[in-house]
Amino acid sequence: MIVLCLRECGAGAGAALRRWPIVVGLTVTASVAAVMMGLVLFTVLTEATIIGTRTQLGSHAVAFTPFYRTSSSAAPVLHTEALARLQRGVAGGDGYSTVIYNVKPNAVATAPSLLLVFGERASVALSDPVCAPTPCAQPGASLVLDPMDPLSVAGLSVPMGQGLRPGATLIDPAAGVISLDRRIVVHLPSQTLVHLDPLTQQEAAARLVLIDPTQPEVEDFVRACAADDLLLLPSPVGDISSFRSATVDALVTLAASVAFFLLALAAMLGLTDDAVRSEAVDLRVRTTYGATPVVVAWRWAGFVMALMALPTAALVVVSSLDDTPALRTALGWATAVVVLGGVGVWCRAQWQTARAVTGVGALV
Amino acid sequence: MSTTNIVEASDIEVTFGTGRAVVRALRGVSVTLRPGEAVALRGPSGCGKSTLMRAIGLRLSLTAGSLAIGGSPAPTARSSRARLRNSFFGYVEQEFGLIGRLSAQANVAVPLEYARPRPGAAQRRECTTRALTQVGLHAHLGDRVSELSGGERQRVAIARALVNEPTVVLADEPTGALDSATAGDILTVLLGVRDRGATLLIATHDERVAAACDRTIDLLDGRIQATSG
Repeated sequence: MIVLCLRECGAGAGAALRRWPIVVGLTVTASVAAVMMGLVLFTVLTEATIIGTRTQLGSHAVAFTPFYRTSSSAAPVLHTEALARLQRGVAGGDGYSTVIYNVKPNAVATAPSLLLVFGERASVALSDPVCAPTPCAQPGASLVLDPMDPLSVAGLSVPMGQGLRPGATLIDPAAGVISLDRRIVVHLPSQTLVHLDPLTQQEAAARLVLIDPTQPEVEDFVRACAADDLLLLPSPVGDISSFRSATVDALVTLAASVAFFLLALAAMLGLTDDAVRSEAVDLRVRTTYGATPVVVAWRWAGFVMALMALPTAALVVVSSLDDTPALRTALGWATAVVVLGGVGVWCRAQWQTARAVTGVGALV
Repeated sequence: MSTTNIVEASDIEVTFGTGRAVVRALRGVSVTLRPGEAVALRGPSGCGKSTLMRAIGLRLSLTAGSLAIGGSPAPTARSSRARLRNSFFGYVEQEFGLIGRLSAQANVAVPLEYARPRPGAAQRRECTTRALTQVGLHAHLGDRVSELSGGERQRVAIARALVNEPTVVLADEPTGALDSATAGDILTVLLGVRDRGATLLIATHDERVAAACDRTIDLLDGRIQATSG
């Protein structure tokens, strides 16, 4: 029976491939629509999470957006005052900062990239509790580290603490959700900021989040950084108006990509109707000579698989390129929509077949 | 129930549709088929010939009445009915019912694909070659049926009906779409099936076909009007 069903499945795929120009066109269209749907859904989810985090941080927290002078050829280098104010900002629970991209470890034997965290208040943005006492490090759940590998950052030897839970994330007010599964989170004391690479210092300044700062505190920090050619625009973290508008834009794009996919699906349903019509004699003969409804169902399953294989594969491939949990969730939902569409096409084929072969025994 | 009757239909009724659109296609029809006989089913269009053929061939559900196949009540489970359709019956249709994109041999092989146990590839080739040779088409094994003439296509359909060596062959207007010379050839092939021991039930308008059969059943408005022979 299994062999028979597999054979029918192959025959169904063959029926789809006999219409290959249309099938190729439709599957490519559906694939593009499905991937678009997943990626835009990811954007929506990210925006929603950022809005959630910013709301959680409260209206009294302040984050900064960096600007660079186009006339300046050299990257800004922070000097004593700016660094001192940055240090003060993360010390004593007044705020926190992170370095997500520009980390140059002194010595790391293994490849995973580091993510630096300054200030205990960073726990509001991390899904896992931040380690203590500083310096300390937490490896991501997907990392397999050699225990003998030394970790040294800014001249400090950093002991490796308890690992992060799978799917752990950092939510940055500007960068959104950062997966920590393949990263090492290094919690450093504020004093180490002065020993970091200038580019790392610059990112730490730009990602500073101050909780309940006074107006002079913010102005002094901005002024100190501006003196070193790093222009920072402060904005209340609780101000989510720009993110709200971006979320609305993303939702509109999501609706468009869903409509695009539904269009491809409608064309697939039309193709299925046509296939049932042209295969009616074939189906009638087979049901007459002993093909049961289950066997016919397998035949259409093969047909649907041929239609939906490429969109599903495209989503799986895109999902495997990045392990950000929110991206995987979004692509998972898009895959569910594709599978649901496939089930719809299959049901349609079954219903049309029942009409086409009425009275040929498959139904009695 | 007589053990000599290979098919025994008693007071069968088949109704299509519901409410005002209801059509009573068969109204209390009783028919028996004995081994090795050829029976002609006659009557005007719409009298219920095809419905009776389909009911006997387990391709329709009965609204009322009973049907015995090979001395046992016709099964109700779909899988059992499918198995019986495959092993007990052969079907020939007026419009041939062939799969145009397949070769004559592949068309004839369809019943073997659903046979239990399924014969191996070599045995399937041997069976299909033998069936096509029986109907005089050994030279057209690999030809696509869409390239064959009407008479040749009907021969392929007959070969397909015979390939599983059925006990009963149900032929619905087998000569209806053919010219008279070709119809005569097809009739000879069909009577050859009877001569090899199979039971033949032919729905026909053709008097020559009816005359060549052992018995005749006349249907009118879903009821048996007369029987002869």
